[in-house]
Amino acid sequence: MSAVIEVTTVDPGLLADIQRFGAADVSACFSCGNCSAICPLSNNDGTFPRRMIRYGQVGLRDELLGSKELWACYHCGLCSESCPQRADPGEYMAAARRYAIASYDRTGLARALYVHPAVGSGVLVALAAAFATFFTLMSGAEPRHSLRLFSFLPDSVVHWTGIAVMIAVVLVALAGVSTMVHGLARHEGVHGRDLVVGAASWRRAWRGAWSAVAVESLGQKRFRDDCADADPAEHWYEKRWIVHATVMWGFIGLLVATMLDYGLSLTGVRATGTPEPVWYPVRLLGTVAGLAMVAGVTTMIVSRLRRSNQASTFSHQSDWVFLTLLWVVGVSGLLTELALYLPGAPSWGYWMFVAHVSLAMELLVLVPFMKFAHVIYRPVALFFQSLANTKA
Amino acid sequence: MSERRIGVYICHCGGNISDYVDVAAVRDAVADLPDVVHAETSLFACSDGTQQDMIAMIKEQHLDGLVVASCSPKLHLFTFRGVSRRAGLNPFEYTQANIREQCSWAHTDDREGATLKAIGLVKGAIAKTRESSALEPMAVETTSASLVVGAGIAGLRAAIGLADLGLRVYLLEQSAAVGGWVGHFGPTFPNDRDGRAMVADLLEQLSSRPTITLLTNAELTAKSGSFGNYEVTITVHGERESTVTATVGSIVIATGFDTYEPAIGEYGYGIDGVVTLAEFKALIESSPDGLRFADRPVRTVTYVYCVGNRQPGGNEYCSKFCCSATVHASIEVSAIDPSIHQYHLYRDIRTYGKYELLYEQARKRGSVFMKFPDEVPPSVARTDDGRLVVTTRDTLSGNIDVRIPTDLVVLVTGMVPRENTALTKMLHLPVGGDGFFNEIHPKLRPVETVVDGVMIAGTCQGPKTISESVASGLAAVAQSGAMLMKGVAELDPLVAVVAEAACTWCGECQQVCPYEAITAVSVDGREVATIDAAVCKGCGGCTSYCPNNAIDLLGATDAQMRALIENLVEVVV
Amino acid sequence: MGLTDVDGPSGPRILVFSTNNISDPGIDLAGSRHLHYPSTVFTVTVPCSSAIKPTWILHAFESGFDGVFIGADGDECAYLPDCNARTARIATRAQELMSANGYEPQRVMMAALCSVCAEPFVNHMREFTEKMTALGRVRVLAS
Repeated sequence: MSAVIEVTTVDPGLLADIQRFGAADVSACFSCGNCSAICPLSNNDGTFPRRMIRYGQVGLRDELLGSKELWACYHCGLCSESCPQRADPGEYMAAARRYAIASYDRTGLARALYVHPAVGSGVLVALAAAFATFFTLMSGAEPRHSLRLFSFLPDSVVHWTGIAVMIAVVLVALAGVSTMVHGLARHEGVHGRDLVVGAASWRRAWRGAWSAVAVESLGQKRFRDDCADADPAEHWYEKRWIVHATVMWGFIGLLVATMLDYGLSLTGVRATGTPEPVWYPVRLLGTVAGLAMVAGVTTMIVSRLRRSNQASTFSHQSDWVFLTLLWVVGVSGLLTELALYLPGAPSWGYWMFVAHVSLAMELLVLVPFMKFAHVIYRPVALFFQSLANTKA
Repeated sequence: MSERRIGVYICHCGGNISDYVDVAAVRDAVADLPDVVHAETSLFACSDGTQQDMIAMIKEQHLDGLVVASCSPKLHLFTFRGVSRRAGLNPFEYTQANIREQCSWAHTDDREGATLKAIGLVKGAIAKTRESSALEPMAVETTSASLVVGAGIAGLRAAIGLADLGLRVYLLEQSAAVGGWVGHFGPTFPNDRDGRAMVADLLEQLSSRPTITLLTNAELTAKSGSFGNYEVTITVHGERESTVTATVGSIVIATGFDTYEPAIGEYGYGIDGVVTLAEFKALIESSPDGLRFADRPVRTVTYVYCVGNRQPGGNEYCSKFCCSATVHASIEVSAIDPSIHQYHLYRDIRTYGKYELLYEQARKRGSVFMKFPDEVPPSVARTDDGRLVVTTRDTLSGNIDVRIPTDLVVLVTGMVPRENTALTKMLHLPVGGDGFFNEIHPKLRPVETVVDGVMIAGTCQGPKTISESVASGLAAVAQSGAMLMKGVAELDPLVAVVAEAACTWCGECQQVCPYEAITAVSVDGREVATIDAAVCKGCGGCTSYCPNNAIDLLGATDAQMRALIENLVEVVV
Repeated sequence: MGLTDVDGPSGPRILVFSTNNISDPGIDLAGSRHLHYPSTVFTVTVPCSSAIKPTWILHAFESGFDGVFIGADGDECAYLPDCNARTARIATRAQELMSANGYEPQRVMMAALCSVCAEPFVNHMREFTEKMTALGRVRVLAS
């Protein structure tokens, strides 16, 4: 599969560096291949995930970062259970993905967030505080008779801040994706012309994108079919793929609801801030999606606290940061909504709204720099995976 | 041969034989043969009860020959020779037919064929017994003294062991200092015991034993006599050369090994920064705080294993100590400075037995082990910018070619046989294809050579670890004790003999005997060959050279072998 | 009862010269592992393969054997460093005797057999038996 012909120079510090991104100590690994034997994703050459560990041990940085397989794993935990050396390959893969996120990011922020807990916490607090301060400064009087959020904080401020944040995030993400694609293409021997020259190439690229985005990322096909948890969940609602789907679709629902909200006001269908009943479709979508996301994230947090499966046995600080951010964004949104429907227009609703908008902005800003970045990188890797399965 | 009285026992071996061979049919087929006076089957021929019955039968029937058809003679030849002796029958009138390993077990699919074959084998054994005659082992009075050649770890320990048995010991060392290779070592695997300290300890034990004579700067220059009483001459070099002569009952050869010297250019040997394992061990010892080479700090060490060993067409054997020694050295390095990066380029890691734990420890301390394919060995070079770089192919990461910039390359060199031509010729020591000395049987007689009373111990026999060397030295002690403590030793009578009447002394046999057992004597005014039974090893190598067929090997004489062969199968007409 | 074409296996009879310390343990091991080879293979033992007399090989054919296999000690021989060359010389002498007496020289085969060569031995026996089957039964000139 690997088309590398040139000689790679080893990076002696690679493994130690990866270890800063997680607990896995794979130096005990002697490449027996038990992990590959049991891995549901391992194909006929039987080298996954063993070879990923090998890259780390030997110090083959480019090979590791150029491996689409890194992102194929759903951390079912079977490898960690079957490892005779207790090297915890599953956690190693998680650490390697954190390392990859930090490596694809050229700003150095991701690395700082991952490996310097103090710096990371500082950035998180400072960023949230900055947004909160900004929005507070931009806010006006609090209407008393009813909760008029967008009178308090002008909708144009929220929207333009959101758009600015989105643009920044997309630019940073594109830079990261370009780094990643460069490495993957080199490692996989894929050239751009293979994907665009001729109808067959176009079809192959389209199929790859469909498989990566629709079937795998949104549909979680292999997560559902192949990568069952090593320790089967007691209840159906604790199954990792169901929990993940709840969070993912909850988040997408919220995103869509926000967009629609904005879209409706842009098109003049409905003025921003118009009071709506709870059954109003966009509002209903937002409410249901918010509840789903909060429920899913809560399940994840509980699972990590109880260490109820292999994937949640070890929690890196970055796991907590991501889950906590999602949770507070979701909960603050729901509370803001609650305040809207409570009689007497409680004034804490305004401050809950500021908190919600600030935290949501922070979450967006940090997408490329934290665990959230998997929404960018995993589909790219899966695209290459699909290309490999349909060799031209 | 005139009429014989032969008894035949066919063993069931529980069912190991009788399940696949019709033992009753075998008995019926041989019971009425000429000279067979008794034939029976037995559930277990080797059982005490059957042995008693055999003794009674031999006495009662005045048997002068015994055949037991049972398992391999490797198991019970001496059992039934003992039965014969206890019954007053000469042990060499006993013949064993192997109808288990070479019949019932090999033909479990063919009962009829196995039965026919067993009948043939028993008939052949009977025919051979018909041609057998009584032989007496030669008794030799032995001298209670031993010579140990080589005062390395094996020789030192053997000398002390021999002295503790009450034997007079001459310990001879070619160089000025005792201790051999181990005497130069610092901490050794597996538990860091210091080589020099071990040798110092043995020397102290040696000096407290007055029955040991240690001769350094000495070599064995002459040997004569035969088993039990070898006359040895030892020349001691020095300002004034002197000789020591002694009579010894056994000789323990513990001359050790040499390390493989890589050729210039072999894995970069000769380039500054490329060293052998022995040189590296010395470097570690001289660097207690911070590994330095040529005044430069060492941050990365790359080991290349199996240098000069396991090479098709070269030294094909494995030196077996080197993997463990290297892994141990890497642990020492990480103890000096855990941040030093260590790459081990290997073909197979053979840290066998308990040494496996060292391998695990080394991995856990961060050593990276990389297997390279046999056909793509690593290459070592200095680049234009002066960096030492090893390029290797890592099979486990999918045959990726990697460059390892490194400060030091350690060539893991193994053992090679030491040049010992004079000693080999003098003692007629058997040398294997690999150049190391050969034992009689690698499993059952691991320290004896075909030269009676001459034993091999330590690494002159082949690569060994320190503990294995010492163990073989002590095995040589035990064998010497078994030979010498009684004061009398018996020599196997199965040697070559000359039929004087047929011999015309052409001298051919004398030329082909490497043991110098054959000389010419004058009998009735005629020169004929004679074979010294105490020197003859009983190989039979001379027999086929005699143009007059005048030499026979006792136990496999012309008459015995022809009778055996012609009775195995029936002529098809 | 006896071995004849009428009442016994009709495969070619093979005589194996084996040695006490080296090939015998290998042949024993084949049996211990229940590896099958034709039951028409008979083994006789000498101390060293250099101790075989060429006349014994001729005698084997006169006695009804169809092939003779010499399990040579090769480099493993504890007695004679040149054991291989000596054994080869014996095989050559035997072939000369056989030719002179009307037996095909290819009825003798020599190969090194080690003390753990169970599978090689069994393979040799199967192949040699096939070769001797192709060659046909020996024509017994003397009896």
